[in-house]
Amino acid sequence: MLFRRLFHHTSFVSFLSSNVMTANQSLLSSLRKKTGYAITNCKKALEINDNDIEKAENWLNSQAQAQGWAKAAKLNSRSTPNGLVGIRLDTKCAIMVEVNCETDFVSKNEKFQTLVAQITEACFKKSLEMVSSMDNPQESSLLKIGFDSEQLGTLQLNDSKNSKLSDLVALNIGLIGENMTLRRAVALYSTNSNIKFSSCTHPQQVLNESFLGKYAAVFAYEECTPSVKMEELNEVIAAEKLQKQLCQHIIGMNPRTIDKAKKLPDEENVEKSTNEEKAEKLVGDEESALYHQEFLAYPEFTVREVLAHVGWDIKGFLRFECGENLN
Amino acid sequence: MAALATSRIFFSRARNVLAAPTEKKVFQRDKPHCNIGTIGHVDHGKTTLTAAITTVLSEKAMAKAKRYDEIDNAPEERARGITINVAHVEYMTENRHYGHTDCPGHADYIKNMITGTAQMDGAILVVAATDGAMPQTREHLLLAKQIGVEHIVVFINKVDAADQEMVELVEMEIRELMSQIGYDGDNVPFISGSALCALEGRSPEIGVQAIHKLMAAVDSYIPTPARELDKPFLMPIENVYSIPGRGTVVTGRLERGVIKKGMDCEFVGYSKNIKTTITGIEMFHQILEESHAGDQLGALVRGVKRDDIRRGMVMAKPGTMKAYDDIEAQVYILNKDEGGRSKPFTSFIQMQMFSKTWDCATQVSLIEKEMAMPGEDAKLRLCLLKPMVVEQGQRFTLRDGTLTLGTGVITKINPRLKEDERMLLSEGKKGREKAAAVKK
Repeated sequence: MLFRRLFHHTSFVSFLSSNVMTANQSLLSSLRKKTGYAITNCKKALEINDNDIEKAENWLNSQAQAQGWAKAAKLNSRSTPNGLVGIRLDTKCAIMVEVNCETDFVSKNEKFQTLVAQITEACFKKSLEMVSSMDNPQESSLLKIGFDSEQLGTLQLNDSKNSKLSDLVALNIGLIGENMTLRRAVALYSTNSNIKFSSCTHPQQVLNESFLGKYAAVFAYEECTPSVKMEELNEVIAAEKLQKQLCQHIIGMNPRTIDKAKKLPDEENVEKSTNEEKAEKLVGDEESALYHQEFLAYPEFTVREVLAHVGWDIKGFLRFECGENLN
Repeated sequence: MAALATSRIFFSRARNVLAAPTEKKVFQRDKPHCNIGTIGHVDHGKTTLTAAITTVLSEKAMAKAKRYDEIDNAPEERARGITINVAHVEYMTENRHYGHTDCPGHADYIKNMITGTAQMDGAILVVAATDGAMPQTREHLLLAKQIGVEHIVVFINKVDAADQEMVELVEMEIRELMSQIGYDGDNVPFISGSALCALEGRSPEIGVQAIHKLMAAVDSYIPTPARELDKPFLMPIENVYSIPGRGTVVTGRLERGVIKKGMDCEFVGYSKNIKTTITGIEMFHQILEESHAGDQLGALVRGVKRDDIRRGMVMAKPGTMKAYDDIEAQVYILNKDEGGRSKPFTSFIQMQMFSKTWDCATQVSLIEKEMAMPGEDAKLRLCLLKPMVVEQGQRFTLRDGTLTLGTGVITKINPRLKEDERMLLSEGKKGREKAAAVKK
């Protein structure tokens, strides 16, 4: 790469004395290599700026945002069924963001992945600010805050140009050439320092501290003393693997509710499950309550048994599937 | 595979005919068949190019002209129970008959490869001269590598909106990119033109003529795949009979090659290798001297007992087929709507693998991922409890009880398992972890 730069640089210097046509071409080529903008735009930039490569580059950069918005307006009607979910978390906050694009070619692309990681980070910082500005509401130890598409678009990026997330997306629409949308984001905050977060994505990918994938799950839990130790579980459950296994379980088994209540009908053990949770408990004939599901990694046991064994108490969870129907 | 693909096109045509009764055209098998496809960025003109090829060739009565929206709005297809977004178009040049595939997404191409509806023998990469290589052009080329496309012809589109300088630059970029990915970038044929001009009959030098040049390059650069008939013979065995006074007869459909009375053959499968001679061939209770790929036949074999051979073995030209038990495959996991299961699976699950006429219990482990979700494709390692006849490119299905879990294609064959690895196969996931714990 370094060699190539040098090469182009020297060819650029020597063009002054050589054939103008080939020189222009190498100029165009080096400008394109350097900036990655569409060839038509690179050419236009050189024409406007009398083949001055530095001016042309500045011009391109200044135009990129406007070009991006123009492209975004043009592609606005195209549907965006693919994309990625990004997750970022620390000890008291976890955020999950979905960004969509048109084809799965783009969701595998580095530029798009960088974009999603950037957006995730921006949302993460924003949610940290929000949580610190809040005067600790004590009624709940776990808070959930959702952002819709519009709210996401207006988030500030904190860069030199003071641009918004929607500007960043438009810029990338111009660069990558596909329509993209900021779909949704949800943040979880804990005001209780005993609550821990764990997350994973599928297929798993890590970029600049953000986790990316087509599916994503995060859950919040508190460690208590194990209530029911099970001999058989000693052999198979390893605490260090369990976090990830539980996240994968949430991704794979798609639970809708937590529902810690025991399932015996005559037992009035409902103190932890709210009415709302109970109402949603059964969707179709599949078990949709987390605690009653078979544990994905060891289907011989239920999630309840595994959690009781290690003494974890699930406080809440989130699951995103890229492109899923939200109704 | 070629035969499969043509019969597919045949069927789809037959379906149309059923819908609207018109005179059925007879398929003329006078030219070799080749499957190609288009890949490239959404806006770079893949579909316009496909429409342009059919339009230009229809002038010579070698294709039925298709409009852009006919290709673009191709209905979802179900192949082997899997839903794929794909457009299939057929046309001819002077030299060959083509099946042309165009899909919108990476996943669709992978599904297309897995189901084997039309294995692509080559591809046309479409790049717009106005944009050049886009960030995801790399992903398109990686896809072509992944689905086993070795030969690519590049069409630089939209030259009516660009100049020579830009076209040259695009060519340079693509050659460099292709070399990076492992193609022979320096020798890939490049054709530049405008699919839109060809479609609308404007500026023939970049329109119609460019399409002719492109098809000439496709004809010469993408090799014709070997026909099934020319390969060493292979017949998966369906049934074995003992006929008093004559001997043992095996029946099945000859998958490829030609067999003649008196030829040597080998039975492979279930850890057995039996060499013998074909002493007679019968079809429809009549004696044949020779039989061709596609024939449903019975073969009388010398000196073999009925119990030595069973369904699932193959009869093949000696030395051409081997049994293996450790393979890698690209598999599509059916979602619930397609009849698959709703839950994902993780490594060390045991499934029943069906391929050709055999089925075998198989231990499945995931490569690159930790679990496989329904509706996703995954790279799997399959360890068969008994060695079976497998080869690269062979298709199979995985079932679990009454459910079809997935369908796949074998991508790599590993050496046979060692004895201790084989012992581990029978252990479940728990057993494995116990064993690992003991070692610690």
